[in-house]
Amino acid sequence: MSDLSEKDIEIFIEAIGGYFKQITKEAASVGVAYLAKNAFPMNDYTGMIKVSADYEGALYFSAPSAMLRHLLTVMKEPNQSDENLLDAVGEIANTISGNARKYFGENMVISIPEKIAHLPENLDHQARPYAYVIIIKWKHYSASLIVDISRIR
Amino acid sequence: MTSKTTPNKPQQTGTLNKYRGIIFAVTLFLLFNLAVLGLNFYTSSTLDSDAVSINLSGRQRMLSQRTAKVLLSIQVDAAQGRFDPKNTEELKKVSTLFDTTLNGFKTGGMVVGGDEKPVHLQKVSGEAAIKAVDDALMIWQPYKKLLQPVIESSVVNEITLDIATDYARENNLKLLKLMNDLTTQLERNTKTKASNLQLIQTIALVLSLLLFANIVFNALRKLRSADGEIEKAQRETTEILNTVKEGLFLLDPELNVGSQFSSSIGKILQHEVSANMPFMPILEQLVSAEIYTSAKDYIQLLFGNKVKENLMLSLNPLTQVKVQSKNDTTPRYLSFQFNRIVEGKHVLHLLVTVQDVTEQVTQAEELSALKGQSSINLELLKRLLQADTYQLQDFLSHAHGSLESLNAILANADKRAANHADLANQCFRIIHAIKGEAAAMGLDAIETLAHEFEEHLVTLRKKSEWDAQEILSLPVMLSGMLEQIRQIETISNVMQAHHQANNSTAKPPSISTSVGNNLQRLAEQVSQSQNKKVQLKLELGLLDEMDTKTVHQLQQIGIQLIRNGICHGIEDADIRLAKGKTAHGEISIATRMNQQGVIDFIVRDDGQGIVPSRIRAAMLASGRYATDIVNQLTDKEIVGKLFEPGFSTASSTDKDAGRGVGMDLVQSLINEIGGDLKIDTKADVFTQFAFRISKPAQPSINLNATEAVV
Repeated sequence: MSDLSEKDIEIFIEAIGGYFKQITKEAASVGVAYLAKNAFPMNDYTGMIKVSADYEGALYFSAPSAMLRHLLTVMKEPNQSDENLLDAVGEIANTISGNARKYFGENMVISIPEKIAHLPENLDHQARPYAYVIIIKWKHYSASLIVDISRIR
Repeated sequence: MTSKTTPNKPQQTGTLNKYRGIIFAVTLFLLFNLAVLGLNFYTSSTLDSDAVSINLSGRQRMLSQRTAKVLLSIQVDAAQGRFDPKNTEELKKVSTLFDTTLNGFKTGGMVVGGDEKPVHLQKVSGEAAIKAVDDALMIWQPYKKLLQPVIESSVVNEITLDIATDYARENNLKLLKLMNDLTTQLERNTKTKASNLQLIQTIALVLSLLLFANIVFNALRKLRSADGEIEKAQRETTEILNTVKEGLFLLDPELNVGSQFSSSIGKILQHEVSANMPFMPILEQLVSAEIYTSAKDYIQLLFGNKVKENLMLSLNPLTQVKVQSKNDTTPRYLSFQFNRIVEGKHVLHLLVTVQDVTEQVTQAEELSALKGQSSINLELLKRLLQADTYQLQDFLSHAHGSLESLNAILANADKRAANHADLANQCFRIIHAIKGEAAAMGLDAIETLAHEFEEHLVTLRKKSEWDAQEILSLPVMLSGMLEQIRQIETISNVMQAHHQANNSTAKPPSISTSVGNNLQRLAEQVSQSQNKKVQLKLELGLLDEMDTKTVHQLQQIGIQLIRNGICHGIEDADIRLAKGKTAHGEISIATRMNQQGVIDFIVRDDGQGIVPSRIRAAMLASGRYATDIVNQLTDKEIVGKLFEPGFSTASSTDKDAGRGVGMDLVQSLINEIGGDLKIDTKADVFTQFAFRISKPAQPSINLNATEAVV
């Protein structure tokens, strides 16, 4: 049994980076990465995917509304309603999910992404003693990727 | 272990030594009494001989009168014309007897005694007695000559007879008086001798009584002392048996419990135990029928004495046995050990030691369960079981805090606008401190993780830009360390819970001892890995009076300076010997208080010292520094370089040194304490780091110090 490696976590980051690169022609980069067990840097809209099988826990991609609006603008989407902003963050979570499924295979069963607005900064249940927090930079915006996934088998 | 009670020679010698005083006194007493007896015998024989002299002296008085009387009778007979040859015969007899006796008194010799038998007469002694004998001889010699014709003639010659009679009349009383004087003198001499003998006997008796009293007194004292020792030994045995945690008792060949047993045995066996009680029924209630049968066979085999005890150890079915509890549903485990007590070749008893090992067994089970859940290795478990609780808790708490700080540095990296090299240096200092402490604790797993972390930071420090993977690598490594520490915390908590639940009364070691143990362990590890011989001398008593934060900081400083001292200061044994030093290098760490109550922390090694020229050469050899820059620096600036992050003179890096972080960390810790670092060093002689705990200042460096620096 081994914990998540840098390579594993990088899969999630690459998915986000790839998404931004593909949609906006401008890649997202990693600002800082650290550990947290509470006070997660949650933004306005969060996409969450839960994992099971050999792993447990969840992954959160949380972005501020300004970033998502800018993204919709770049995508030439005039409707910037809350619902569309949630869809946007959900789409990113979905992309992460697709890449992860491809990488982890049947060892990691991934749920359908959930889209949540204004998720509290403390989680009800945490799979890892310390979850990874990776600050993703795109343009001058900062989004959070929170990886609270633990390998159990 | 086998106890033997076979008597031996040393024991006998011991007993002889023990009673040497009494034996000497008894021997002296016997010799003394023999001497007194000999003296008595001698004096008695002397007194016998004196009695003979007195008797014969008395007889001389009688003989002198008989001589005169017979002479006068002869004269009377002659006047009447008669002659009686009987008278002449008697005169001859008495005069001869008087003569031989008187001469006997003069010269000593055999004379005729009162019973007509020869007897030895002693020569008289004493001035008065000798004079009496000499005077008597003066009278007797002419008297004897005058008597001679009277005795020899068968016809009476009146003229001769008259001359003799006249001489007798004239001297008879004188002779009687002299014989009286002799008798009196002899009696007086004898009385004096008898008095002396009485005195000697009285003194001998008193001395004999004193000797006897001394023997009795010493014997009683020895007996009382022996009784006291026996009583003390019995009391101590009872105290031991009353206080010892283990159940101890003797088992006789009939498998009955002996007369003495520890008071805890009843509690451990949960069964009342008394002397001569059969043991097997108690055991039967405790263990399963199968184990009971094996145990019975095993015990009988032990009494059989055919198989060596050591070979049978592994056969003991009661080494760790689950026992039935009377009122408790939780399982209990007991450990029975049997040791033979042998006299000659005969097994007298078995010493049975019973321990309640429930705690150890359940702890091992829980730890083993924990092991199943994670990747904790057995070596780590062993280290933790041996670890000092204070040090472990202190380490865990500080390590946790330090890693949280490191995480905060990572989280705020972009806000601080610090460059990546600075970030790496900050992380480095924290990880290096944890590595040092983990090494001192013997926590190899954490030390290895920290070392890997450091190696990674070295790579990162060289890069001006970090990619995503490199940024991500730091929290991933951090997470690994936190997870390891979390696991140790879990085990530590289980151990502590057991410790508290079992109300352990064992006193924890003092903080100074605890820190000392850690530093000793570190010194041993580092010197072993550096293949150097190092002795660590510690004087850390004052740590017990300091707050835990300062103690922790000083311990960290000690750790770094020991590492540095061994890696850079102490020379290899052959180099030391060539320099005329001992093969063993010495590092001393001391806390000392001056008269003003200010405490100094001093770390000193007797190694090669800090030599600026060598540092310069090492800097140039490393290729990291330009020649002109190195040459521009003063000696003190060169030494000051040792405190810069990333600076190292080591030609290669390993777990112990070469990253250039140790001295940077030391300086930073001393700054936190508010100390004033002073470095004294002399090439090839020593290096001493000292600072005062409480006074902030810049390090002062003395490159021409004398060895007397303290």
